[in-house]
Amino acid sequence: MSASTLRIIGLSKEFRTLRRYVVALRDINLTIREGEFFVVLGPSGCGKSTLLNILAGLEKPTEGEIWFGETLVADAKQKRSLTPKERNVAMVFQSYALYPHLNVFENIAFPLRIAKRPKEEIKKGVLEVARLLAIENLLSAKPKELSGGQRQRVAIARAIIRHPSVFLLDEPLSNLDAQLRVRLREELKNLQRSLGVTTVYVTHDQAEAMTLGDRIAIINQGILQQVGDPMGVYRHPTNTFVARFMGTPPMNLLKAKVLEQSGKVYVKIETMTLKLDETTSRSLSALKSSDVIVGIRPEDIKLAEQASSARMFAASVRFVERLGADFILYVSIGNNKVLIKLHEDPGIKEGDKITFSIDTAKVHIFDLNGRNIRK
Amino acid sequence: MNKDFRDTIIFLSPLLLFVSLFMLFPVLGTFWLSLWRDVAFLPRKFVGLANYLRLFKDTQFWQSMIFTLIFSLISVAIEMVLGIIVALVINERFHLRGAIRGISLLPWAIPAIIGARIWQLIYRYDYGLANYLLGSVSGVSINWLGTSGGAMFSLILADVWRTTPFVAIIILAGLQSVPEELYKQARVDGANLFQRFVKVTLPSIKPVVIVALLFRTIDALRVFDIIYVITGGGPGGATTSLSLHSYKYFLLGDFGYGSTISFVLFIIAFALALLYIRLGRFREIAL
Amino acid sequence: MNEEQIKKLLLAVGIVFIVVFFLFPFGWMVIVSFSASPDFLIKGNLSFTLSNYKDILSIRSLHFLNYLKNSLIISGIAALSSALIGALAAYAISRFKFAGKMLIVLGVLALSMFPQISIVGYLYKFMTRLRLINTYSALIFPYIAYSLPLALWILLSYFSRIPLEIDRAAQVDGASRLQILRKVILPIALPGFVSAVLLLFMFSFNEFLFALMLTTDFRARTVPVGIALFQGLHGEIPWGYIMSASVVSTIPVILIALLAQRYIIQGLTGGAVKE
Ligand SMILES: Nc1ncnc2c1ncn2[C@@H]1O[C@H](COP(=O)(O)OP(=O)(O)O)[C@@H](O)[C@H]1O
Ligand SMILES: [Mg+2]
Repeated sequence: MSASTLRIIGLSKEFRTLRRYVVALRDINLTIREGEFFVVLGPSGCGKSTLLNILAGLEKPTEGEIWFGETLVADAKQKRSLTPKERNVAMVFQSYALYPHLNVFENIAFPLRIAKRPKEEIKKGVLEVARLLAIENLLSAKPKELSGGQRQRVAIARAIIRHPSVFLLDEPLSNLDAQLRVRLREELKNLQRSLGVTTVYVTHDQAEAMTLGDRIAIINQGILQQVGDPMGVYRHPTNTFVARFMGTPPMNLLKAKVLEQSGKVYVKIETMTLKLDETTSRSLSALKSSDVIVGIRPEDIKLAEQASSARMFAASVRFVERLGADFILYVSIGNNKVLIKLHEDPGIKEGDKITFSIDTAKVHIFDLNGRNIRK
Repeated sequence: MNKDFRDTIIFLSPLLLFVSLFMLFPVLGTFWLSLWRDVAFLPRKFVGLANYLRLFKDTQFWQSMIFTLIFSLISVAIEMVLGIIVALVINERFHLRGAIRGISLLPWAIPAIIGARIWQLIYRYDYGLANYLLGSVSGVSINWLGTSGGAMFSLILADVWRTTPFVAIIILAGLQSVPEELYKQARVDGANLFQRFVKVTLPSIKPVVIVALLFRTIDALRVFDIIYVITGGGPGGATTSLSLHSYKYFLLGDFGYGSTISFVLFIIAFALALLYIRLGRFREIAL
Repeated sequence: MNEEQIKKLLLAVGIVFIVVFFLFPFGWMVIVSFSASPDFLIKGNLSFTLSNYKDILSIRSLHFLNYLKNSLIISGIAALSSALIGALAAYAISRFKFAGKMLIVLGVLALSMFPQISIVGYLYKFMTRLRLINTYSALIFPYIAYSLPLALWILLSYFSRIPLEIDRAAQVDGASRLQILRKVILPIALPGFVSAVLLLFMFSFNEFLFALMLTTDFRARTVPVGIALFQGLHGEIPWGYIMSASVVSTIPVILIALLAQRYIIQGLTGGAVKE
């Protein structure tokens, strides 16, 4: 196994303080491949930073092992944990964590100064990464004189100057404005490709995860939900949490009942009956007349001229959100609220009646525990 | 974990070592001494609580106790009022505020002994400034340090001069934490200057005032320096504070009884310190 | 008169009160220090002289320069040491998780309120046994201990405002805890450290009771004790000497108070008073 493949085995982390007891991570198993851009995605407080801190050696696991290649870097049983220095990891933080009293040059040079490298080497190294990140003209500035984007570049420069074997980033872009975020995302991806260093990137932003990650892992409340390549996770979410977390606006989830009529399987949502395609039908046939949850992405609903066929449904529009490029319709179907995402202005007002069709091949069916049935 | 644990111990041990060796240990030692007859040139003898029983018959001890309490009460009360006033002034924005703030620090910043010497000179019966000013206005002279009332007054004034700055700084911090919106709201509600002070300022700084009050009370109870210089405890022991009373026994070489008096003072101060820590919400700050 | 004017008037009265009440004793100290005899108020013989200053600075047997040197050295060493020891402890308390943290913080806070008199008796015996009476060590060690609560308190309030991520970044960059304290935390909290050192210096420089009990002569005696015990040759209190010595010895503290007023106020209030 290669030196910078990361293996996380049975990892759990509990925090005990005077006031509370938190299980931040519960039995996580993951393998992150060498050179991979791996994204850990999850809502705030789900344990992402904790996971990254444990990988870095800033926290110790309560249970489980961490392997860097053939090296056991943390083992709860043996109460053993290598320091960040011994692991040769570098990390970028959400708040950038630049040293406010040092200028940009010294910030970047800090890891080398600690390692007592010769002066010329430090100077050469700093100039090199500064050029790579296009911050050569900022070297004498203090962090507080920099913009958010510049600070983030400095933080990245400081992280890569040591040629780490693993690169850890904790929501590095979330303090930036939207435009800059998109631009830096691309730069980061290119940088990672050219350096080829194994990277673990933590974010709560699914769009970021989709664009950056070779693979992504989704965590909720300390529990690993799903691992896979971005489109795979998007297309085949294992449960309702992942289904709703991936994609904006989130997937519609509707309570439904499974029906079977003359060999065909349907799901009935309020008054609306959806006929399902072959594969879905097969996996559902065992669940006859039980309750399920139907997931439909807002973009998989299409407006139709008229309720002409059985596949068309009618509803009234309660609200239209005009986002410029996209238009979101808020529609009621019985007691359920359903969102429809359109790419063109439908010219529809609040209160209008519409008819729509659903792409049944893209419908997801979950059991009442939220697990995807078709998987 | 082990590394952090090791570092914790290494980082804390100098503090714990110094504090234990030169504060905690001596206080316990003082208690230990108070259980002994430990007088110069006499053989040491363990006497249990006999020294504490001796306190009851020691009229000077009770006089010192009463003096110390009255002195602390009055001077702290005056300091609080003046401290709030000074804090209000140096909290305002005005030209040369920095200089005025610096001046407000001075009496507290210099050695208490020097302040005491200056006041001692000012209080002199024959050529002191106080009687000179008083004489030129009313023609009378007061024996400031010769009567027990005059000596008490003189000491309180000197103490107020010296410690009002400290109180003012602590209260200044409280004033600065009052949100500006509260004043704006009160203005909108039609409250005038005085009403804003009573309804907004005072309630907001109450916690800080209580903390300053307790801290200063504990500090005043151990008063020594200014009395040592200005009155030497006189006239006739009228201004001998508990600290000074204890010190006089140390000076005589009676460490057993001197320790007994100082340990009583310690108990009083410690009880107040516990109250102070409870009310001061230091728990929240520290965590 | 409208409210603005009333406020202005009250403010002016307040400023005058502060200046007059707080400063006039200093003025008196200076006047007496420059006058040939302190009883000029009744004798009317006010005359300017530098002889008090000349005497205290040149007459060896007055030992004033010894006292000053002792005070500066003892207070300087004590202030720096307690600030450094306090910084170590404040770092541990603000950064590490460990049982009994509260107990240490509150315990140290309580210690700061111990009356000196209930320490000094035993300390005297202790120092006698160690044969340290009348040495710098006799004062430096207790001064360090006695100022540690203040040092810890000031530095703790500064350190705990520095985000933990800074430490984590430095750890990842390979720094040890001691390196983090030295190269990152202390430089960032430099204003706090300066406040602490200044306040601690004043604290030790002004201390009287320990110095009174634990020193016996000019070899270790400090300025406050020297000034309290100044005796004239003929029993009369040598006011001219006392006041000129006071002026000389308060100059460093007054300079600190006026120039570093901001640091001192910030230190005393844990940074709550901003400008
Ligand atoms: N040092 C700590 N002590 C106690 N609880 C903590 C600590 N660090 C994190 N937690 C708790 O662990 C959970 C996960 O936190 P974190 O990993 O920071 O989440 P995320 O980075 O995903 O927002 C949260 O509930 C948080 O409150
Ligand atoms: Mg986080």
